Amino acid sequence: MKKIHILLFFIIPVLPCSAQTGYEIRGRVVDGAGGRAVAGVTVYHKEAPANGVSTDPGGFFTITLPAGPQTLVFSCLGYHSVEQAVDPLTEGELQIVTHEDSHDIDQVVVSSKSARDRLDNVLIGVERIEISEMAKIPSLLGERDIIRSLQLLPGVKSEGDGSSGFQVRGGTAVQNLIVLDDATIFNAGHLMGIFSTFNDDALTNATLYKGQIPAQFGGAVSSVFDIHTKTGSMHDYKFNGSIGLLSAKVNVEGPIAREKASFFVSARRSYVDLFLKLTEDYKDNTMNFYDINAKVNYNISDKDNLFVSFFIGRDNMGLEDLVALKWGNIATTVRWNHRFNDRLYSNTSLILSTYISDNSIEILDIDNSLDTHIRKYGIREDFTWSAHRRHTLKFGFESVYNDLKSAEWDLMNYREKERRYAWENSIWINEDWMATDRLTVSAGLRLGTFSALGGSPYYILDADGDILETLEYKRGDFVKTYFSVEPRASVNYSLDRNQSIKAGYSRTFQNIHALRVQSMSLPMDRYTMSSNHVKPQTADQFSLGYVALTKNQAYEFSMEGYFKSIRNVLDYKDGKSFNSEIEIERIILAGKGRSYGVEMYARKNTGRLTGWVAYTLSWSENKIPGINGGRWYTAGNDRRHDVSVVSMYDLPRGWQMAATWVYNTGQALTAPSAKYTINGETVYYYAERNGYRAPDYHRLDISATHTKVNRRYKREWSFGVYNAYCRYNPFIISFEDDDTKPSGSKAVQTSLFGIIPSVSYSFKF
Amino acid sequence: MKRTLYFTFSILLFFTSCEKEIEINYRSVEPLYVVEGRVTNETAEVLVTLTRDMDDGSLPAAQNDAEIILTSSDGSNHRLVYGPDGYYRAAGLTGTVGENYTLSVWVGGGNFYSESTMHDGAGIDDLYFQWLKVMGQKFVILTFSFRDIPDQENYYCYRVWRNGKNYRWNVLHDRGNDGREITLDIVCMTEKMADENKKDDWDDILYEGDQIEIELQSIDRRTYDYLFSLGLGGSANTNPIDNFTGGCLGYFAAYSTCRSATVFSWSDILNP
Repeated sequence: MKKIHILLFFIIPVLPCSAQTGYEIRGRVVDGAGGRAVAGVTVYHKEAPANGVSTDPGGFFTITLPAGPQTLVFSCLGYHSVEQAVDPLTEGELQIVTHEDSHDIDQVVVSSKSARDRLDNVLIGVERIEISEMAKIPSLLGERDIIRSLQLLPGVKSEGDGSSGFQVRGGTAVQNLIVLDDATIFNAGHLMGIFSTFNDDALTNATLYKGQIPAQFGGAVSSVFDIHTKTGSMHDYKFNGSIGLLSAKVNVEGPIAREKASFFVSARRSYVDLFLKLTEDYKDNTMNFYDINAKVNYNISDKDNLFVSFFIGRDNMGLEDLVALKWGNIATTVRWNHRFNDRLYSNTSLILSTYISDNSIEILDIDNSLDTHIRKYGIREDFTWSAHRRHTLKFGFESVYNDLKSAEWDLMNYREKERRYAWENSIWINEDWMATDRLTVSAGLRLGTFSALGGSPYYILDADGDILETLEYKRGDFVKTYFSVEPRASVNYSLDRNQSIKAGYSRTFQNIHALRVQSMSLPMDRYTMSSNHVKPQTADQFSLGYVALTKNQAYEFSMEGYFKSIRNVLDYKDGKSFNSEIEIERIILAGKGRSYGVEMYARKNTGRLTGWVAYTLSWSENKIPGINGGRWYTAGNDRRHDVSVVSMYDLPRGWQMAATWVYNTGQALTAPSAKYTINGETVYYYAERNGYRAPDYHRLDISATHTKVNRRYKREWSFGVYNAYCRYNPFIISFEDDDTKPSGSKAVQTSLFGIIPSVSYSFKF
Repeated sequence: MKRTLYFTFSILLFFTSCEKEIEINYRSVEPLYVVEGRVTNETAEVLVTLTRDMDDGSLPAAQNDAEIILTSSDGSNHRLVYGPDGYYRAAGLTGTVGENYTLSVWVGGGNFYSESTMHDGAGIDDLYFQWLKVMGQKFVILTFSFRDIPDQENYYCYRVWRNGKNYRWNVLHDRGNDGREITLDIVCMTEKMADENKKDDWDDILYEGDQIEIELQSIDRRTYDYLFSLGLGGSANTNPIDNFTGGCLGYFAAYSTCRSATVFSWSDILNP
C-alpha cells in the first residue's frame, strides 16, 4: 500500500520562556510527501488538552509547556494524528513520520482526533468536514459532493432534491456565506444544483460555522462555510483522475522550483453533451459544466509565503440555438503570508470574486435575455498574535467594493437594468482566552459600515411599491450608510477530560440579499443590496451545547440547542415574480423570522463499522406584513424532524461498504382550502401560507468501493445506488382539475429521482 | 416585426421525473363570494358565485340575490339585473373608451367595490398555425399579430377559445414596443402528442376542424396586475392580489375587445 508521509519537525526546538509560566516550543509542521507547510494543524498538550494552538498558513506554531517530559499531539484533517514525547528542557530537533488517511483502519485515527477537536473547540456549532470521510459516503451518480455531505450533519438540511443549496438552523440557502480561499461564491450549484460547484479533489478542509461565527467572518445571517483548496507538492509531480457516469476529473501537482514553489491544478468537466452529440435529435444541445481550481504557492523566504489561488466554475445549458443559460463564478485570491516573529503573523489578501448569469432565449426571431452579475473587489488583512500562552488575538480589516447588477433584461424588445454599487468596510478583533485549564472563552467584536453608492437611481416608494420620487446620485456619492456592531462570544467549560459544556451568542449582518425564484439552483435568483429602502438583515443567535466522549474516544455524543431571531428577511410580494419589475425594491417585502431547535449527534469513531446518527428537532417561522395577513407563519423550510444515519463498514480485501439514510418531515406546503371559478377555469383559494405538509422525505443510498493499491498506482472502483428503495419523494406538489373524480380536483406530486445506480473509476499515480 | 413566445421549457426533461396523485386532508373555510365583472364594447355583465370545498365536485352556482350598480365616471348609474343564464346585465349597456367604471356589489351582508378604466382596442392583423422544431420535437404554434396602440402604455390579455371553451390565455404589456406590430406565438401541442392521443393530453391536442377563436382585450394596469398574479398563483400556490375591496374574490375589468377566428387543419400549418 502506498503511504504518503508527513514530516513534522521543529525548526526552533526549545526556547525556554519565563520560569513561572513554562517553556515555549516553536516549530513548523510540514507534509513529508509534498514538503508543503501544513496550516491548521491542532497542536495540543496531551495531558492538558485545553492547552492547544493551531499552525499558521506557513505551518508555524508556538506552544507553552510546563517543564518535564510530556506528550504533544498534532492533528489535522486529512492527516494522521501524531503524538510526540517532548521534554522542553532537553528536546532537540524532532522528525515525525506518519501516514495519510487511507481505506483501512487508519481513518479511525482521523475521526477520533476530530472528536477531540469537537470537544475542545471553544466555538459552539462548528462542523469540520472531513474530505477523506466524505469520499466514503454514497453519492448521486458517483459524484462526490461536499455540500451533499454537509447536509448529513445535524442542523443542516438540503434545500430539496434538485438543489445544491443547504439550509442551516432554519435559515435559507441564500443566508449562507460560502468562501473559497477567502473569495465569496454565489449560487454554488452545477447542473441546476444537482451537484455543487466544488470539486472535492481540490479541497483540503472545510468548516461550517452554524452557531458561533468567529469575528473575522461577516456578511451572512445564517452560516459561514469556509473552504480551503489544496497546495501543490514541493517534491514530486503527481497525476490522478477519475471517470464517473457524468464527469471526468484530473489533478496535476508538483514543484515549479524545488522547495521554493509549487502548483496544483484540478479540473472537472461533465460529458453528457458528448453523448448528446451522438443522437440525431439532441445533437445541437449543450449541457455541460466544468470547474478548474488552480493554486501556485511560492516560499519567498522563511518568513514570507505567497499564494495565488484561482477558481472558475461554469454551467452551460443550450437548447439548439434557442435557449442559452450560462452561469458561474470566478474567484481569485492573492495572499501574502508574513511572519513578523514567532508570535505574530499576518495574511494580506487581494480578492476578486465574480458571479455571472447570462440567459437568453431566441425563438422565431424573439431575442429575450436576462443577465445578472455580482463583482466583489476586496482587500483583507488578518493578523494572528499569540500574545501569551493563554491568549490568542485575531484582528484585521476588510474593505470591499461591490458592483451588483440585480438584472438587465431585454424582454420583448424592452431593455432595462438595475445595477448598483456599494462599499463595505469592517474591522474585527477576536480573543481566544484560556481562562483556566477548564474554561476557554472566545470573544470578539466586528464593526462594519455598508454604504450604498450613487451612480444609478434610488427610489422613494409608496406602500404599493409605486415610485414617488427617483433619487439621482453621482457615481461614488454616499446614498445611505449603515453601521453594524456585531458582538460574538463563546464559552467552553470542560466538566472533565471527556465532557464539556458550551454556550455562545452571535450577532450577524447581511447586506447582499438574494431572492430565490424557486428552490432549484437555476440562475433566476434576483440579488440586491441594502439601500435607502432595503435594510440589512440582522440575526441574533443563542446556543447551548454539551459534548461527551467515551474514554477511548470510540463513541461521541453531542447535543446543541439554539434560538435565532432574524430581522429584515425579504420575500416577493404576493403576485410578483422576479421579472415583474426591474426595480426589485418595488416587488419585495421585509419582515422577521425566528427559528429554534435541538440537534443531537451520536457517533462511532472506531472499529470496522463507523458512522453517526444525527437528529434535529426544529421550528422555523416568518412574519412578513402583507403575507399571510401579517401573522406568523411556518417558513417554507420548516421541517420538524430531520434524521441522518451514516454508516461505513470496512471489509477485507479492499472493499468498503457505506450506506446513508435520511428522513425528514415533509416540507411546509401551501395547499388550498377552497376552489372557485374565474373565466371558466378553476382557481384555488389559499387560506394560509404553508399551512399543510408535503409527504415525508426519506431515502437510502448505498455504495461499495473497491480499492487496489500497488507500488505504481492506486485505482478505485465505486458502485453506488442512490435512492435504493426507489422512494418517490416530493419535489413539486400541484393542484389540478380531474373530471373523473367526484371532487373534481386532485393533488399531484412530481418527484425528481427514482432509483439511480452509478459506477465510477478513479486512478492515482 | 417583434415577437413574443409563450413557451415553458421543462427543465426536468433530462431527469427521471415521475408524477403521482397524493391524498391531502383539506381544511375547509366558510364560502367566500366570487365576483367576475366586465364592461366591454360588447357587453356589461357580472357573475356572482361562491367558493366550494376542495372535495365538492359540483359546478359553481350563480348567486341571484346580489344588488349590483355600475357607475361611470360620466356620472351615470346602471343597476344590473339577474338573468336566466346567471349573469347580471343592464339591457343594451356597453362600455365607452376613456370612461372609468366602478362596480358596487351588495350580497350576503358584504359590500364589494372595484374599478377599471376602458382603453382603446387594437385589431388582430394575422392569425395562423406554424411548425416549430425544438429538441427533435415538432411543436404546433398558433401565431397571431396586432399593432400596438401608439403613444400610450398598453396592457393586453389574449384568450384563445377552442370550440367555445378556454384553451390558452395570458397577459402582456407593450413596454419597448410602443406602436409596433407585436407577434405572439402560442405553443399548442407536439406532433407526438397528437399521434399518441393520450387522455391526459386531450385538453391540449387540437383536432382537425376545431373552431379556434382568439380574443384580444385591451385592459388597464389594475386588471393586468390581477391577471398576472392569477397566472403566477397557479404555479406558486399563492392567491392573486385583491381586485375588490370588501373581501370578495374575483375581479372587475373594463376593456375593449376584438376577435378573430380560424379552423384548425393539419394541412394549413405553415413551415417557418
